[in-house]
Amino acid sequence: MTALAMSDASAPGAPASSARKRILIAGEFSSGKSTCLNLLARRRCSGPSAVSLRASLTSHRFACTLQTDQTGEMSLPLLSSLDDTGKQLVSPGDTDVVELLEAQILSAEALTPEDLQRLGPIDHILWCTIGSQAWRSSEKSSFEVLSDACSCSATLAVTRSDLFRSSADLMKIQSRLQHEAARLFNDIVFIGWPMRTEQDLANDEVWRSGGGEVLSRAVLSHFYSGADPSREENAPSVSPSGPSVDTDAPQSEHIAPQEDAVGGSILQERENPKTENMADRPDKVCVDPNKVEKSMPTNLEGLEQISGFIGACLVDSDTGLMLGSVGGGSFDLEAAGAANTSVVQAKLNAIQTLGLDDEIEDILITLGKQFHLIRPLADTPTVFLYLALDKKAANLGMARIQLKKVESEITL
Amino acid sequence: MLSTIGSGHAGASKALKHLFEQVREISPQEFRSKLDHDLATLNGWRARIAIIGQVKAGKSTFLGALTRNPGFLPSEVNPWTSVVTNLHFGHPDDPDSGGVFHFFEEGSWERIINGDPETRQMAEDMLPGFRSEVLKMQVETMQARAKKRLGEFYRMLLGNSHSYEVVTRQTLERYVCAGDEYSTGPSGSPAGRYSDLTERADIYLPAGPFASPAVLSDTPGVNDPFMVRDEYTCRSLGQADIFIMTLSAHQALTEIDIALLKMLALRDVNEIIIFVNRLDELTDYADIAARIVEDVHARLAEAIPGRIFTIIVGSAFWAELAQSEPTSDHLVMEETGRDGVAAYFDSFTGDDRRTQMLHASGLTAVEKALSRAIDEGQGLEMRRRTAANLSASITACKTLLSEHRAKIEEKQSAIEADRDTDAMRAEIDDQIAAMGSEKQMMEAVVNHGRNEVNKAMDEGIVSLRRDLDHLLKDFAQSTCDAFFEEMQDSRDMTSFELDTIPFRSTLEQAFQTNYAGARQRLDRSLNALVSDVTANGKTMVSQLMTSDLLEDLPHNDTTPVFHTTASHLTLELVSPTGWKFWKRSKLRPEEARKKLAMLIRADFYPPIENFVLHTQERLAERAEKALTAVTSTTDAAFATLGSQITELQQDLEAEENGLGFDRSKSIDRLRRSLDDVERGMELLRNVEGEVEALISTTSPQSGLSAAAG
Repeated sequence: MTALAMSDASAPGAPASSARKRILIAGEFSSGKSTCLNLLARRRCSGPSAVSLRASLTSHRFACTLQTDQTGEMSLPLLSSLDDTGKQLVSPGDTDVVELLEAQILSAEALTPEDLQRLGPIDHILWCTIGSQAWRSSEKSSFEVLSDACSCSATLAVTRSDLFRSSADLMKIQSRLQHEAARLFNDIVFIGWPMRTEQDLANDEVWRSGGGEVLSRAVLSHFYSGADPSREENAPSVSPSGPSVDTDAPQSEHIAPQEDAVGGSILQERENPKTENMADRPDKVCVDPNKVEKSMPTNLEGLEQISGFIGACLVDSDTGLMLGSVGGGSFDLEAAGAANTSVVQAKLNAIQTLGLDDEIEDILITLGKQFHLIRPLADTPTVFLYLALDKKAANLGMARIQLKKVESEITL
Repeated sequence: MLSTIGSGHAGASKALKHLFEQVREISPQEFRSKLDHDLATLNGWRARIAIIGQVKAGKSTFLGALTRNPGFLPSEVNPWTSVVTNLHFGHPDDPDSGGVFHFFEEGSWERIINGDPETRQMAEDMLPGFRSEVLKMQVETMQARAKKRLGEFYRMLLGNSHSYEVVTRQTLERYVCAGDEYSTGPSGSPAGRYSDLTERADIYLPAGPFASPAVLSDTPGVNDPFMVRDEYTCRSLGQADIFIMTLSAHQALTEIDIALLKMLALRDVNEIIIFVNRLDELTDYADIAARIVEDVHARLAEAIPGRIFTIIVGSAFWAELAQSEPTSDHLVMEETGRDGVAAYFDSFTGDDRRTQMLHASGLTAVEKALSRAIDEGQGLEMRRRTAANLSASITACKTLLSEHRAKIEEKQSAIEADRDTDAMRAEIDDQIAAMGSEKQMMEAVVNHGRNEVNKAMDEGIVSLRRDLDHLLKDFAQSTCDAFFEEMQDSRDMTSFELDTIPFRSTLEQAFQTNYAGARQRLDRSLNALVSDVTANGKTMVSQLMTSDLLEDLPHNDTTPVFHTTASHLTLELVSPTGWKFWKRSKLRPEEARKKLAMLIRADFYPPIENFVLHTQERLAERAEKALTAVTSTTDAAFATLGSQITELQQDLEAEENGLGFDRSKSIDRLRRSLDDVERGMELLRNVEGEVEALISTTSPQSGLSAAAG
């Protein structure tokens, strides 16, 4: 396996010990590490490459200055380049030295203890994952190895988020990452189009819309805003406003554009973090392997004999689940059955509301060309038989009797 | 849309099938079942293609576009496919619409947890991050979720399946998609409702772009934190022969991709098409595409040396968009309007943007590569195997035909050699004819004899009656004459009494004499018959026993009884009832003589008649017994004769069947069979040539085809 080979890109002569904060920008190849580096530094430190072969480690050192905005509350660190001797080129206010280490990871298995040793003490990990295939198993493994070795805070940067074709897509990704990666990171940020020129990076608006600001806050403010969130107790903050998703971009036809749906739902999510993370709570879902699952066949074939028969199914009205079906042709029985659960439930509600101490024997729906008969099972009223008949050929009286007969033979 | 993928195989298979039919037509019955079996194997073949790769590489989208059903396979921005979906195209045994969704059985979860040992070992060794214990946990989660999602009745689905005559994207979503498990809103979407319980989906579609039958499997993909997807994908590796490995252009060929390709290499899979997707998401397309091909090629050469991969760079998004409805023209325009896209499209042939886009998407290049993999790879292998089977059948068929030919020739020479058969037949015919005439002769003899016997009896009877009648007539005459004289002499005579005893003796004596004569006459005729029968029968049946035929015949002699009891005959000359009558009319002598004659005749006629009947009966009995004896003897002789004829006829028949008795016909028939055999041999030689050519066809080395440029 290719070991991480250290190379110092900015200040070969500067003593490493002068760095106070060391941030590891890591990810698989072409995952947007350079983009993140450029955004943080607001200058082009390295160019993007679509293909790359080896694991690598590159160090970039910066003077870090805290900036105060007009209100005097928010402070955003500003990184400025050091010259060859490690001296600041620009030195306004308090400064510190920040070292950004760009590490290309091939796989968890390829990370040797020597590699980890070579990294030295790390104060924060920025893991870069590409939006279209965000947070795959191999990334998770690699990150876990790094995270275990470094024991520090971490940020997940989802790069190329500008490529999502709708804000709905972005939401879905956010939602999934929230469940799958949240416990590992303090923040999840979305990074957009790589800044291609120095001018882009210098332009506040472009920089901000590309996610530069949320990224800087997530990565750098941990050290300077006084806040030191512990990822064990908090759900990570997700910065949805980072990349601007162009909702006018070509969209897959099946996904409806969903404007302005980002912020609110994420906030909601944060207030009510879902605890149902399967990797999180393995103990609670253990299934007794000795418990044998028995299949329960049902016989609906008798319904086929009913004249005018089109299709029939057995549906659980609690879940809309089709338990069995017969016939149907081009008639989507599953959908029809599921849709009619609300009919049954509505009628049950009506009975309850009216205070009728009674139950549904059957429900007849007469369409122009079809009869639809719904008959809850006597033993299990939450399960009903759903029968579609051709109105021309059907005899309703007979059909009801036959339906009743089949119903009486079904046992759950 | 033209069906083009695998058209080479379709054509070659058709030719091979034709060869099969030719061979089948001339092949002996016993070979047909093997030929039919081999042909059925060829007909049943389908290209098994699987699309694999990491999650979210664009497999479903690309497969949809490739199969001319853009958007049919559900896809999402998150990993979405969770079940292997097999799309069946154009197989004659399959329907061309609908689908079946197979649910887990009891124990299916256990099987996923334990896995197929070989595949599992491979996955653990090679797939970075794949850990069985995590998989186990996740499977159990899935099982629990299935219960939760499907409610208490989920068990009713176990081991069952749902079938549809029409399958839509919405149907698919319910079974093969992950479902909106992280949905924040109310969960009303039916997507993924059954997917935790669905083991496999088989969807049937019209042939579409496939000229020869194919099944394309959409896999969930590897490298998902939810490792059940990895497991499903790894399982499907053994289920296909041709693979489309989908990479993302953003990160073409990661360690995972290499691991997957290495797993395929270990399985000796030769047909791998690498499709680098998502080119549309990059910039500087032409430059990047070329660099990606070069880079992927170089790194594969290092990682998996000695293998040649077809690498195609493109975009499933473009492939889908290029096939979209005309109403989406504005989207095509928009895409083309992006930086550098138009310039890149211009490097592809095509009169319009959509065509250029289709080529730029890599779809046509993948189709071409697939077609080559079928025509010259898997399909060729199949055809060669089938051709080899056919060749073996042909060889066996030839051997059998040679044996057949040898048999025919043997028969031919046998017919030539066995000319005496005709003579034998003639002889047998003669014998049968002779026997027939002998029988006829004997029948004639017997009939003649019977007539003679009857004649002899009649003569005896006639003679007896004549003699007795004559005696009676003489007796009456003489008696009447004597009575007349006496009456003349004595006028007062009132009655006349005649003693009949002497005449009875005379009659008896005459009877005995006549009977003996008649019997002798009969016996003579019988003897003549027997000797005739004997004479005729000697040639017919060598041991005809006739010597004792006339022994113990009844009624050598006989004594009839006189029924007339009166020993004296009395003629009253006056009326016995009253003297008045006599007084008044006393018989005149002439009248009395007449009356007396009548009286005598009336008295003696019945016994004479009785004698005749008696004689008739006795003679008939005697003759009957003799004739019966003769007839039974001749019948026995006829039976012997008949069985001899039958035997001869059977011999003849056997002779005819053995050699085909009608020689000219048989020889014609044999010649025709021989011609058939020769023609069959000729055909087999020709077919064999073609078959050998098929077997020796080698797959041209698949070269590196970088379709991006």
